[in-house]
Amino acid sequence: MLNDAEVVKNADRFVRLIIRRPQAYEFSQRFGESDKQITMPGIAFLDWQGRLLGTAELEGEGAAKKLVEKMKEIGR
Amino acid sequence: MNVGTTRFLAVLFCCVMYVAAAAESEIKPAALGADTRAPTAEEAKTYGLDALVGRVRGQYVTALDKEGPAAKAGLKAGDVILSLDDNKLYSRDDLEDVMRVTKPGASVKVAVKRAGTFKEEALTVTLGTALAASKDAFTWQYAGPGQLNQTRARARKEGKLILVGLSGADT
Repeated sequence: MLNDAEVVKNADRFVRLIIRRPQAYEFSQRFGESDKQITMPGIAFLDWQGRLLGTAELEGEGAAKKLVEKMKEIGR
Repeated sequence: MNVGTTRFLAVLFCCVMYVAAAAESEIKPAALGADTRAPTAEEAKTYGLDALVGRVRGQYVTALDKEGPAAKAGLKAGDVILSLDDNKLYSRDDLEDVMRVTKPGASVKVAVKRAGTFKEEALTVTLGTALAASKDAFTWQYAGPGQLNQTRARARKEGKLILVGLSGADT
């Protein structure tokens, strides 16, 4: 899904970090909104200060399209 | 030199430059020169390995390329690699992620627990080159929470935001 042409095209707006299980759980708890964890597999968008700007899911119907919309919205 | 020869040389030059650019566009990940797997429960106990959310830390070295970077640095089969620079390893994917985002020729600090003594030691490995990946693909630029500070510094420097991929896959 990440290799979708539109996702790849919009990826240059971001510095890209991957975190896998189990450390992804720690990250999700640390940066998740209030008491919610960030859905996994998923994407978290941060600014350079480490503040959470938004999230996106990587599974489900239309996930690639929704991810691209989020990338454009956040990266504006 | 006549016009025909000049045109031929111009076309030849363009072809050479195109091939050179195509070669440069390939992303060449680094390579450690070691086959690894997750430690067994018994190995985790024997080596005194930490666990996080049920995942044992470390990659058990099963085999080495004789002339490869890991062997040259003194790694042995039976050692358990705990981390590469600031990146703790909890899976083979963690190790491969670091290789994908590190340039061949770079030196990395490798924390290992030694076979036999089970003591922790630090080695420095100069990474080799793996097979090239395609440029037309989504690529990660950093791997693991140990690199979050570098990621933030780069984002600040380049005026970009950060996209963090969180993988819940069992690897």
